[in-house]
Amino acid sequence: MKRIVQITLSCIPPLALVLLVVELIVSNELAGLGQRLAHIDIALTQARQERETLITQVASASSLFAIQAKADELGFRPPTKDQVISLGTDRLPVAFHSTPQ
Amino acid sequence: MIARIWMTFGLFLLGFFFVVFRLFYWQVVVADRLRIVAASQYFYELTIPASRGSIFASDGSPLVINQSAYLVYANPRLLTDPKRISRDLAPLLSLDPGQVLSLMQEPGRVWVPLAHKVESSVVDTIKALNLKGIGFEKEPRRYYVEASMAGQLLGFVGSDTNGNDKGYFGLEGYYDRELRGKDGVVQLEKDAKGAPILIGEAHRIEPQDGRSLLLWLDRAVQQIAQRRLDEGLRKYGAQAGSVVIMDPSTGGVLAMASIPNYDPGRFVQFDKDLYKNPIVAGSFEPGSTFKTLMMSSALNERKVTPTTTMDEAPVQIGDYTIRTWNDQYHGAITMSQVLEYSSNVGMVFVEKKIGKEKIIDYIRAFGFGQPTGIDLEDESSPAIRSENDWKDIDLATASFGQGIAVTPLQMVRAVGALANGGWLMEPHAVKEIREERGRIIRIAPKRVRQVIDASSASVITEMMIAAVDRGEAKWAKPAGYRIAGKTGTAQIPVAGHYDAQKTIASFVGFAPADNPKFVMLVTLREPTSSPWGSETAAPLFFTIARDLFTYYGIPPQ
Repeated sequence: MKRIVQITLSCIPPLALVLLVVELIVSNELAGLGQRLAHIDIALTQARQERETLITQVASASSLFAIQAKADELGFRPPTKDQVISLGTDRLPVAFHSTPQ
Repeated sequence: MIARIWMTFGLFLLGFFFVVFRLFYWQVVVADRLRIVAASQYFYELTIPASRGSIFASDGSPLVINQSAYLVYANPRLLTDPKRISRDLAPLLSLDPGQVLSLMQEPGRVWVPLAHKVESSVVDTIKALNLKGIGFEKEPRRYYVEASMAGQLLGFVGSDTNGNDKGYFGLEGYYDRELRGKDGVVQLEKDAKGAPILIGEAHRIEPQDGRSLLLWLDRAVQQIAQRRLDEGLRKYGAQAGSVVIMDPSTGGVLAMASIPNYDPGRFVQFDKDLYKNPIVAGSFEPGSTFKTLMMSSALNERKVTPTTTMDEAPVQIGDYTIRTWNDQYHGAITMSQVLEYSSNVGMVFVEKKIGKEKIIDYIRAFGFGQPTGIDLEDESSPAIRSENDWKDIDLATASFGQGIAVTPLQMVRAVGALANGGWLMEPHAVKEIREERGRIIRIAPKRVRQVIDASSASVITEMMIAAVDRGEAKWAKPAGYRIAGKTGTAQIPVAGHYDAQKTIASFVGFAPADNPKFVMLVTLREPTSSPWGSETAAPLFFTIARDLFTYYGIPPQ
């Protein structure tokens, strides 16, 4: 019994030393992680900004204003009265049957 | 000896009390202040700004979004060469170099804002110059994707007295609280280099981004209305004009265009008088378009039918003589012909049939004299005379739309009731409010009241179709379509009398008449090519209607 107590007591100093070293290593890692977190935050902010810029560019490119300018450039014109032909109402048949004369 | 011992003891005691007193001072009296100072050294607090909500057209395409922008500021104490920096910066910020220099040299300042809401591309150019003492803070700005299209409907975002973003006019003003959101905050323990300590204390309140709005507005219909109104104003030489298009069954606003207008993205460059939306805040005397409402009231009261006849001749009311617009008289005419000929004396006959009390009731029932309740900030309503103030001549002139002031929105909504089985709807610009997390708040169409019964609504619709097919504007009508409508030409009151030359020409109608897809009002102020609605507003209405038939794929009936 006395021997066990002696062995246990003799292990405490080296154990304490090991724990101290582990604590130093972990603290150092945590300090470094804090900096990495700051870098990730910056990268996230930049990515959000890029996303906002792209959304703006897509909205701008798909605006009616831009589409009309492009259509005018390509020579498209609004339809005039004689260019829109309605082929009739629902009462017209889908197809006409023509028999040879 | 004893005395020296006591003296020494006394000095030690004095010193002891002095130390206790100082400890009390630092640990109790100024403890809170020191705690805050200490916290500022090892805590950093960051405001997480909330994004303002976006505004979308009915097809989901964006009308208003946020664009990345920055506040550019200077720290005068860090500036190495203020003159050179101001010369480099001024052209990029569109400022005078002297103005920038004077800002930088203001005595006692450690932080000076130079320009607000500067675009990212400009900021990137400034950053590339590597100017010491110039900093940037994120300050998003609104981007109006379609520029001035629907500008008065949308409103704009300016600053309040504290320099914070605030919406003014239109949707930005009405829904400012919904769109604004709530800023968040993060507090983190930091190390000596300013990097966050992961296992340290942290408090975070997430920002609540603003809600987004989905409108009833159809982007293509708005563009059609805007383009055709612009063409019409030039063709007919009008001072101003407006087009408002509504879905009569829901009260949803499909388009709202007016000229002159402004670009909400550059609102400071425009006259403040343009900020108000004339369709909801401006008033006019509706003229003959009002006859449709009075006639429908008489039909609803069963006082007249389409075939009831009257003898068309000038009518004397007190000192006044009511004549037709062209001083031509057709003898015995039916009620249907009263609308076709747009006969003022015919409407006086109708007014007498309805009676004073009922006329005023119907005017109020159709929504005049009070705001419509549309969700736009700048709505106002001209007042209607109180019951005791109506004289015989007032009732007579009101029957053909003079001597009564209405807003274009009130007018189109009232005619919309005729297209909707007699039901008056509450007009709305917004269909849905959407939260960032996906929750959707639908704004259901709201029936206000049934002004006339469904059969009266059908009858007045047929009379309005006949007025279009046989009236003064029949030459402009698209062939093959059943369009219910009425022209209007109202003189403009100037200093207590009506101007002989100046008119407001208008046309109100809905189509297709049997299952109306839209109700529309076109107004032109002081057209110079012709003062008459049948020759200006009516053909413009039909041109827009033709475009809408093509867009909606509506064949002739």
